[in-house]
Amino acid sequence: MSNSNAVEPPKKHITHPPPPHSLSSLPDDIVLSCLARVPRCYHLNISWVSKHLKALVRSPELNLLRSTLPKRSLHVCFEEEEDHEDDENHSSFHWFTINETSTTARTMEYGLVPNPTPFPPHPKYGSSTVAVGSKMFFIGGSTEPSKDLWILDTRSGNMTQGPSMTVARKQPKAAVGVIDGKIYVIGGRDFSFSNGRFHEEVQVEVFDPESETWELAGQERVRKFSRCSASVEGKVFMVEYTRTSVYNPREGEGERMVHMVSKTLAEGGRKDRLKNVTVGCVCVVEDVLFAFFNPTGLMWFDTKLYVWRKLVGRDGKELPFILRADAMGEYEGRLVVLYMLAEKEVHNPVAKSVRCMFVSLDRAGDMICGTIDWSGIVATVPFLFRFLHCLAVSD
Amino acid sequence: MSESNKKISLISSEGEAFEVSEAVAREFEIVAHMLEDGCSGSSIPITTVDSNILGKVIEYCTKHVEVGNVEGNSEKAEKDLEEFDKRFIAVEMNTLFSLILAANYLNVKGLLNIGCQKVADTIKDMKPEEVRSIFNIENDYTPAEEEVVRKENEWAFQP
Repeated sequence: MSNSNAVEPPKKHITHPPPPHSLSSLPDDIVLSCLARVPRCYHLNISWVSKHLKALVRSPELNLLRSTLPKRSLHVCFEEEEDHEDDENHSSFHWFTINETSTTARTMEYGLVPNPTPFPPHPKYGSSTVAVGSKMFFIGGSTEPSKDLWILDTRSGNMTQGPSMTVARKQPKAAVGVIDGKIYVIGGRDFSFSNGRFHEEVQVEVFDPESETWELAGQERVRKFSRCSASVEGKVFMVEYTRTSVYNPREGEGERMVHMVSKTLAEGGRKDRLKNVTVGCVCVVEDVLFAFFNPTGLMWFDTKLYVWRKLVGRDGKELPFILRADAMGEYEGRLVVLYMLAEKEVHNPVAKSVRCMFVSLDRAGDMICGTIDWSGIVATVPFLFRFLHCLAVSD
Repeated sequence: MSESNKKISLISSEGEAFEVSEAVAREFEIVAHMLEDGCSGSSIPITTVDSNILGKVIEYCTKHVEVGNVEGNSEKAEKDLEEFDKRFIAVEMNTLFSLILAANYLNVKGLLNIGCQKVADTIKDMKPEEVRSIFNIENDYTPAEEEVVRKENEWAFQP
């Protein structure tokens, strides 16, 4: 067995290697490959464990390892409503991606750039939208209920029609979320207020992008309004004006939907509630749900206690800078906040600027701290543009 | 397929022999290389891995070879394998560290992946002091340095 010598580590011959009792006894490259699998928002917390771990968390080697993980681009879609004589809805859609633009030695600049692969013009971009892998799915109708499904392959720019749903639905009431790679579509039936109730029984439908088939997932009592939806921790969350609801596919039929009593706030006791707020937008960053409420500001959802919590700064106080959010998304483990502003000096503005903030997130215990890494103008767009989608898609 | 019926003995650090099929032994990339290099002997010493851990690694590889050989019904098989991995890696920390070291040494990529993922998942939601005690890591910050960290990050240390 002369070969066996070649693979033995250059160590003393120990017949019984003692079991390693500590993470520190593992070689650094193994600890690094463990750390590369920890979401970025936990890195600061880990750096407090020991100086050695701090050095590893901040090492260029870890960045290199993380850069080999699959990457995602953030696609932003604007809708431009055009005035026409007839009553029909004429909108055009404009797609961009957020990209690093000029990079000097020390600072990074960002901008909205046209897609490398242009997306074709299509009337269904306004329907409920979700991304799985490198594909986007446009489900149901935007102004009129529809059973349609359209699939956009962002790599090729090809838009194809998928199989139809059973129930005709429309945006913004149809909530969509992705659980285990499958798309859940909840609610969104054209409403009739005949019985004056806020809930109705609606079939939940599930689309499997692998087999390209729809399945019925049972009747659930859903709210007639669903403003924004996103999925975290294997559940679909629906956030709207007065309530947050959650759909858990692992419960029994009829019990998968939980309507939370109110938007309970963690701060100021359990009785403190979000009153008179509207939700602007939601997004998910590293499996944490964020929402921007007017006028309360940026909050994240604590799935242990089912309460909304404020995003704080390093000093433990509220982040004072994020006053507006028209769209949010995830970019390399960071929260991207976008909003539009008309230039004040101009009396009759024809254009407005798209402002952007990159917020890195750090988790420790029951808190999440946000630090604004970069803020600036990423584009100037015609005045009639409004945000429609902000979607992270695998490259 | 007479090749796959060939048996190979893997010898643990205590000298205990584990008889496995060649297909399972080849899951250990280090063994696969030795076999390709013409080491045709039927027993291979794995001197840095003890019987307990070697037995576990063989269990892991056997399961993965078995599932890989079954044709059809791949979705269910994949789910089962995921479940198996989950149960397999739910071990105490010392065993986890030993499995990771063994997987690294023997170059069993799948096992190394789930081992590192397990450490990552465990470390995520913990306070620094919990990470220290569970992973047995010495706090090498001086009290003064710790105070600086605390001051800089008041948000995290609020009651």
